[in-house]
Amino acid sequence: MGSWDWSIIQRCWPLMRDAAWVSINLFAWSLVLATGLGFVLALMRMSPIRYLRWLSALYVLIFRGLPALVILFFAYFWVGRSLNLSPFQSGVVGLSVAAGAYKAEIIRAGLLAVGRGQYEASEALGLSRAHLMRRIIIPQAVRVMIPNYMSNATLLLKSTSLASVIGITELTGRARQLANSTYKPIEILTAAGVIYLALTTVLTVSQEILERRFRLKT
Amino acid sequence: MVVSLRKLQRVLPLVLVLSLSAAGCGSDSTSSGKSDEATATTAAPATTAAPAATAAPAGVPGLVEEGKLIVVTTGNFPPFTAIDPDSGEVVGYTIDIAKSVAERLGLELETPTVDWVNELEGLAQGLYDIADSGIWPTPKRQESFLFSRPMTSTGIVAQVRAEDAGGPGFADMTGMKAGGIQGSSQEAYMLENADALGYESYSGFAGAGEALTALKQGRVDALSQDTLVAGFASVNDPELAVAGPTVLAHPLSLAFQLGQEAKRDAVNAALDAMIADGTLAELQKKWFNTCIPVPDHNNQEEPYTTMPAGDC
Amino acid sequence: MSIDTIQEYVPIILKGFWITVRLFLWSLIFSTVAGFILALMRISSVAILRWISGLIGWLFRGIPLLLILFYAFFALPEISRSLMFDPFWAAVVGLSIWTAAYQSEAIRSGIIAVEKGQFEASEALGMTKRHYMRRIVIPQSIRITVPPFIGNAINTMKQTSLAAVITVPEMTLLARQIISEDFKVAEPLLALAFIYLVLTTLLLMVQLGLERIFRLKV
Repeated sequence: MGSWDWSIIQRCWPLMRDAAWVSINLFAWSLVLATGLGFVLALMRMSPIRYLRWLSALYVLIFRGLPALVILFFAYFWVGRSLNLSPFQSGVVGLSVAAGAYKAEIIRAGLLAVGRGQYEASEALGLSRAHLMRRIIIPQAVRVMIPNYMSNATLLLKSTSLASVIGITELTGRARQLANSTYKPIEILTAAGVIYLALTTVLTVSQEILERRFRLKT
Repeated sequence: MVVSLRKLQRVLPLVLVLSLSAAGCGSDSTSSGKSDEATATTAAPATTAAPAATAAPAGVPGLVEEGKLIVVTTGNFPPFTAIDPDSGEVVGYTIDIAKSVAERLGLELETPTVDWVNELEGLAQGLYDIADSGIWPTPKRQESFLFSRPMTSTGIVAQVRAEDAGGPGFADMTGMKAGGIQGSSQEAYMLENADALGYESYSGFAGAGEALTALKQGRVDALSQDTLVAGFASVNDPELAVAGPTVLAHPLSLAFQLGQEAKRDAVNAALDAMIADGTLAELQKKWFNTCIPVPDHNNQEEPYTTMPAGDC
Repeated sequence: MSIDTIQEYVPIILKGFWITVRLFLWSLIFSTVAGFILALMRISSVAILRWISGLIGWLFRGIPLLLILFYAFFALPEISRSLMFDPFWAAVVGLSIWTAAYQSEAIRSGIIAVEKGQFEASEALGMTKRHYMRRIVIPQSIRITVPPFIGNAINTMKQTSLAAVITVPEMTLLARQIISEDFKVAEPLLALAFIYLVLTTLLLMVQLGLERIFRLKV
């Protein structure tokens, strides 16, 4: 093993830092959209209309059964081209659609975990549906959801690396490019790994903070 | 803020139907592959911009986006196209050609990069105006794409590690592990002549960068590579060299989607001007350190020459 | 877009099927073994072993699989010539260590789930250690470990698609080649998606079957 070349990392740092921001951007957009999509799907799954329940279940089955890379290809080559989306936008669509399927199950589990009794009790008390959701159901559901939601979010952050395959210059794609043009794969790829570790650790720590904050005070 | 369940249930089916039909609208045109019109992107629903039919009035018809020339390359084929590790910009011989052409046509230049396997496919689908990674206008490709006049000539040679510099190259590849860029004509040459060349195994790589790394690591012993690319690599890296004969001399040109004759002719005019006023010769000096004969047509069967004007 | 073209492409893509299966099986085997070792290290009484195992887990759960694959393929040979794997084995190495990081958690939670109290009770009842392990610990551990273990296995199967990025000729790569050679997008992707859905659905049925065998559904 030769010597470690710090200067290469220094030289390439600006490009890698900018690419890391693209990754974070991809992550943020996809997280928001996936959560929204997951919420909609969870509500559909709990709806009294059978066709909506069925549709939601089918969506989850299909999009949890496909590799994320394949979903991204669909988003880029098919949907993105039809709607004239930029590669970044196609990437967000693909990642959201894939993650949404998992969020749907997580959110549904959260909503279901709140005892049935509460729905009935609040009806008896004459609370409006909106009030019910906002003040009673959602806070309790969130408490249950946090661990799974956050670990899924961490997975989403890591899956932004797939966007490099459809030509988005995020961190992994940039690292691969630099590794091959500077012939220093170890230094570059390790630097990229360190950045990802930093980002995922931020998420994991946030998870613990959130869990603590939402814990029941007994 | 919180939407009631009932309202949601009524809106949802509508949203689903709309999104499904939007996805379905454009797919028929894009999946038809070699489309004959420049309007592949206009079949998309009305919400999208950039219809190729209402093209630039500035004298270049059929642009993907008005006022812009979108030239796609791999960024992984120096000195034709490479990504500068310091600035992250694409640079190279073909990029400089694209810059000069865009200037002469009064258009803004955009240079996206994609892997080689996606470059021609994206061009066929009408995503770009020009594909310019140093493309060989083979008869087969000319069935699916239009090509400009050539902008250089080149060949195929074996790229090897420095210690194999005096070796036989393509003349005798017994016992060698061969490599090349996936989907390239240099790869096709290897695969079609497997028996004659006699190599032990063949591996394809995504681009020049990966292929050269593999060569240096010893994963492969010889790369089937473009002559100018191999020469450039050998000059700039003491660990690399070329070996053996150069085969299959051929021109390199810019590729266009079928049906885009007017766009191609406009670019041809710009290229002719570049040759006449010595710009092309300057670029050749800059990137290849020498002047290279530029053929005047793409048909390899017939003899050709023009030399770019200027001294080398 | 025709059904016929899709049907035409399925056999072409299926040429990569055995590679996908082999990638999956080898990774499953190695990751289970490695996961076991990591789990035992994590609950060991030797602090340094716990620490190393924790570090490895954090490392390989915190980095995207794609980066791990690039490292296995591009960077390892720089460290030592003997670590130069061809694409298939580089993919197996990457997939195995990534999956192992998750499996170690699943296995560990299974082992520690058995309360200490049961150990003392078994001593009081005069059971031998082997009897204790066999009749009490293992059945309960398996019940806890199996669901996340199979979930991880299904994930591994889907993640084999990433091997395409380091040029392993598995199904996703073949589909991508069809796209770039025939200029058709929808048909090869649909054929690919169909095959993956069949595979993951089969694995899901295996999961349900195993859950029933171990009587996990209360």
